Amino acid sequence: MSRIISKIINSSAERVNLILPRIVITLDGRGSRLYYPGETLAGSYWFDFVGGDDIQAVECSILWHTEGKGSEDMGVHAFWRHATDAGDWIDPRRPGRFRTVLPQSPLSYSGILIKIYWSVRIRLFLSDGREAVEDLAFRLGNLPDVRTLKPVDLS
Amino acid sequence: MFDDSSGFSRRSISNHSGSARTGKPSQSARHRWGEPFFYLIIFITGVVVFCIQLWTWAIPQLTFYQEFIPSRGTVAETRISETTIDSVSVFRPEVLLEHQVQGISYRVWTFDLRTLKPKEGFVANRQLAESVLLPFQPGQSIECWYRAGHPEEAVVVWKNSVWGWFFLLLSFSLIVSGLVGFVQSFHLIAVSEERKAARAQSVSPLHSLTANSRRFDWHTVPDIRFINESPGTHLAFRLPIGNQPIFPLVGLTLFTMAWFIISFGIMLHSFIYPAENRSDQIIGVVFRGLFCGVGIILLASVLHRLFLAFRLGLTLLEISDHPLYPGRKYRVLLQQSGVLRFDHFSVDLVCEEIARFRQGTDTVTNRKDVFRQTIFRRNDFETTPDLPLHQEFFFQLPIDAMHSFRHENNEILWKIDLYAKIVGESEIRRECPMVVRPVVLNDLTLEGGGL
Repeated sequence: MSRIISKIINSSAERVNLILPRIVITLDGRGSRLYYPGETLAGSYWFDFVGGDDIQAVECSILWHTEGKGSEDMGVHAFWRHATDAGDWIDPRRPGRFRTVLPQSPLSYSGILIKIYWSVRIRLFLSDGREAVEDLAFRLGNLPDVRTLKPVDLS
Repeated sequence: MFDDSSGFSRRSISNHSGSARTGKPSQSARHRWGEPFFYLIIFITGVVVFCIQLWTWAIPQLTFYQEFIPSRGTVAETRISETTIDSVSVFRPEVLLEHQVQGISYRVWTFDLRTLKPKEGFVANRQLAESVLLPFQPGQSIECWYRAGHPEEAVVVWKNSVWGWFFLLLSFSLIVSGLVGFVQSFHLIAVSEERKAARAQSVSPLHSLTANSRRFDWHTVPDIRFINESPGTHLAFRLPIGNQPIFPLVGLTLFTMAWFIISFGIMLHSFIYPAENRSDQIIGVVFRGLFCGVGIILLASVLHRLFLAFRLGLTLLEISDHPLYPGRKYRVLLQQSGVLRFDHFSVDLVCEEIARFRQGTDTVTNRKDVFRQTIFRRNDFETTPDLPLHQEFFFQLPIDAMHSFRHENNEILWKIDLYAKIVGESEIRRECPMVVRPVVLNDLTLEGGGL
């Protein structure tokens, strides 16, 4: 009987150990995720289902990447890293903040072969070697789908 | 927790692994062992090759320098020594060397280092063995080397191979590059793509939209200097005309000339020195005729292309401002010289998407026009030296137009396409790339309009 109980406890512990932390990202002060070049993007993030001792490092990036027919291109506009081995104290329940002035380009774009997406990416490195990643997409600029682009008639 | 001044800002990276995706979030550790493994293979290969070279070539070289003393001797006689190895006769060149050390004369049958061992230095080809003995004539004074303390061991051939040192250096460089690459890539195994990008470029913090930071904001927008350093004669800038087939044409012309010279050289040779057999003569003439016929077709093709290329004459396209901004109006001047009769001549404003991806070992490029507007067209007209085509017209970029974009695998290209159809000829296309920048309020107010 005691063997069965210990087996149940062990399997539960293993299951808990396999659950990856939840990463929550929020943007400050607006319902819309539409930003314009030169505007300030600010927000915060925090983690659920993880203890402070389980976190090795946290990376926060504001980046763009392409999708579509071609191989992916990617550019990082802003990047921060906090690591416990660098002496940083990371509390999973205390929101981490990010803030940056958005660049002039590349604007978010929805083309036929190419699409350009902007996002805030939080990457969490756990002590056991696992990683958890979460993206929060936003738009830079308000360009419509390229299919709706109409020629300007000067006549 | 974070602010701009505590981190890196803005740099670009590309996914070097081809079509793999880096942008999609994952919930598991992504370790990339391929690169360290590749460098490890290079390192191990380098070590193995270096050890083999060291053992079989470098150490004997160094030993020779240490143990053998240069001297001079006389060739008394030469011979080919013959023996049997595995029932096969093998041969070894040998020279009877007479030399003196401290007043004592020595006579020894020898050749190179291998000859010092009884069963080495044999080759299966007797002629080869004889040929290496040709430089040695009886009575000839030659350079020789004898082993210190053992003058009876001497050699008459010693070559310090430059190639040996070169290959030793090559294998050593494999070891170094493999080791450095392995250490670096191993260090980056568990590093995220974003952090790699951050490491790739150490960038100053972004504090505000200063002029410098704004210029850096356009790092994915192509450079405008290529166009802006070329002023126009009537309007502000002259647009470069791309797609002119100069290099393919030069290559094809050279190839055709070479083909033509060789084929007619062969034909001429066959007439001067005809084959003795009648049937051989006929077959030879047929094949040489075919060879020359291909040359004539190539020549005709080249002449036609040259005719088309130079007949179109000089095309000039100038624009009132550059770079371009969405929503703004621009004036364009088109000038076409030459004596020509055109079926039509049209100018299109085009936005093209270009996507590149790896397919096996090839890089495939896909192109798609996502916007096209004809901004000028004229049908059925002639140009003469006194009356070239000289036309000004306007166009306006759509207010919602995407700016130009260029990165390693993806590109958004704005351009002006010219289509010229000369009567009786196929249509000729030229393209003039331009740069469209995203609208910045200050740029519009400070730098004025396109006109």
